[in-house]
Amino acid sequence: MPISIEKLSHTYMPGSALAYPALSDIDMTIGDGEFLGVIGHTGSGKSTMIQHLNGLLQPTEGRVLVDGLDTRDKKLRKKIRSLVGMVFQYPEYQLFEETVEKDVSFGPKNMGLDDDDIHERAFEALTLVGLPPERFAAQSPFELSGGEKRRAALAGILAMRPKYLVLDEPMAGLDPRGRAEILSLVESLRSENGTGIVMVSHSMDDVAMYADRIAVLDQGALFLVDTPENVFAHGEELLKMGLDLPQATRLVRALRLRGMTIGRDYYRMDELQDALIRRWNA
Amino acid sequence: MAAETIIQLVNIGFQYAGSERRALEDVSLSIKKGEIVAIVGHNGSGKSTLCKLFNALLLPCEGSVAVDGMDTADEQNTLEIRRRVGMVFQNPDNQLVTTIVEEDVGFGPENLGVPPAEIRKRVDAALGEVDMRDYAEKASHALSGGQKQRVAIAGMLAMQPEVLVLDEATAMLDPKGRGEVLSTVTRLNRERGMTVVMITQFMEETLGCDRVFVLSDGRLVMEGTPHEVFNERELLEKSRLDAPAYVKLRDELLAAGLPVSRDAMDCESLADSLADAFAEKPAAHKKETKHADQH
Repeated sequence: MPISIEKLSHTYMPGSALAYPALSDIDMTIGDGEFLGVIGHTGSGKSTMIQHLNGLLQPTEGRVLVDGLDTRDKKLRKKIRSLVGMVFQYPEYQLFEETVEKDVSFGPKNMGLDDDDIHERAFEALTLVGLPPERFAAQSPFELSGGEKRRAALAGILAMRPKYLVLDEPMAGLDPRGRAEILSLVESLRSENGTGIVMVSHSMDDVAMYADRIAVLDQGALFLVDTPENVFAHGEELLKMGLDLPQATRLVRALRLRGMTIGRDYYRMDELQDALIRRWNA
Repeated sequence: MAAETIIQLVNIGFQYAGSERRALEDVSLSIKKGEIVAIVGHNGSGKSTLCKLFNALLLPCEGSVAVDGMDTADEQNTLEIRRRVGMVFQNPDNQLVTTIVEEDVGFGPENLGVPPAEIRKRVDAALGEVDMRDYAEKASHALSGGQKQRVAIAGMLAMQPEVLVLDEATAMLDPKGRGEVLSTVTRLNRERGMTVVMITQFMEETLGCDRVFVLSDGRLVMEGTPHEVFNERELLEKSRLDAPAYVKLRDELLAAGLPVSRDAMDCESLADSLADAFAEKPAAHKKETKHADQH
């Protein structure tokens, strides 16, 4: 079953002088095992929207159903939070325990699992994120490098074995290698474990490369949710919203401006590269 | 005449108390007045430590740091050095101090004793530079992360420092915000001669810089123009870095026999070069065939 967002609106501090409508009338479904990219200008409502997916925020209007469970129902919230893992920006700031294993065990412990199960899940999650437990479990999280800390924080969420993983800018602040490692980890969670992924990113290249569909938010409204190809065909509108285009798309536009005829749009660099080489050899 | 050196590091060694590892090892570099330079390196390579040495937030364990000839180790220089070297950090939540945006931007100049009318002018100009003038009277806490960061940058600009150091200041901004910050610092550099030091994980942001310094495991492993640095693909890889996407595409196209310019590093220059290559392609082939026929 999917996550369905129905007529969702959210206003911060409603009824006060500071009332601020952050989301209006969002309708969208996130399928099982789908990789959904979420893009939008700063302040477009991305973070507000994803915080509704596990009930951290409640709709002012409309509703969000996670596998049929209404996030407005307090009694269901614990269940919903175990289904939807939420990884915030800079999750490593939330590491606090003495050892990596204790930190990763925090979530499963809160789920009320027994010690053996918790231990098994912690080791499984550490292995998944590429931090071999035999080497990392007993270390202090504060001795890890930036990229390792990020992965340890991610392991803490994965140890709850969520069905959906929601990530807010998971690559922010990482070096290029670290970014690639997190991306391939997220992709393998989807392809090997069937975890549904919702990833907020400013990198059009990353969402273009990995997402099945992309949701575009603009000033609190859903502008479009469609395949990368169809989304990036709206180049002008995206640019107007202050968004970028994938680098391949930008190059195609630049080549057209120089009089070259390019039959279709490209949003992935690898595909554009192949096309250019084929054209040269033709 | 060679430009004056504004920041000079000689044989810097640095180790945090309680750490077993040296954060910086034998780093020497100098930055000239009016230069715009980038410092890149993997997470934990020592970039942030390095830039905290620039305004005496940290003092070196070995070697010396001089700003405009003033030794940062001499406490009498600290205030003067900090007036000249303004820092903008990655996390805006640690930098905003007041509740209203324009008060925050005015906080620095006020502390420097700038007259109120002048503060007003500087605050308006600085907020304009980061495209946040509409938010002047808004509550700082209600801003998004990217908006806060632009306010923090405006706060530095309002103090009119000689050197602006941006420690991954664009890391949390969206593409438009990043573009605005980049073009702001580039303009400050070009038009006002402000020296700019940017630390960044976005390699493409360094393309407009005069020089790029590459740190790896606390050592300075490379220094050169963006062109020089991004041609050292192996060394970059070893330093956990990567060339910008258009540079990588250029190299792949070259390897496949497509005659694009080795100088192309960004979208525009690569498009120019590709358009030229394709425009000349059929003609060149025919000509060769003709020549072959004639001989």
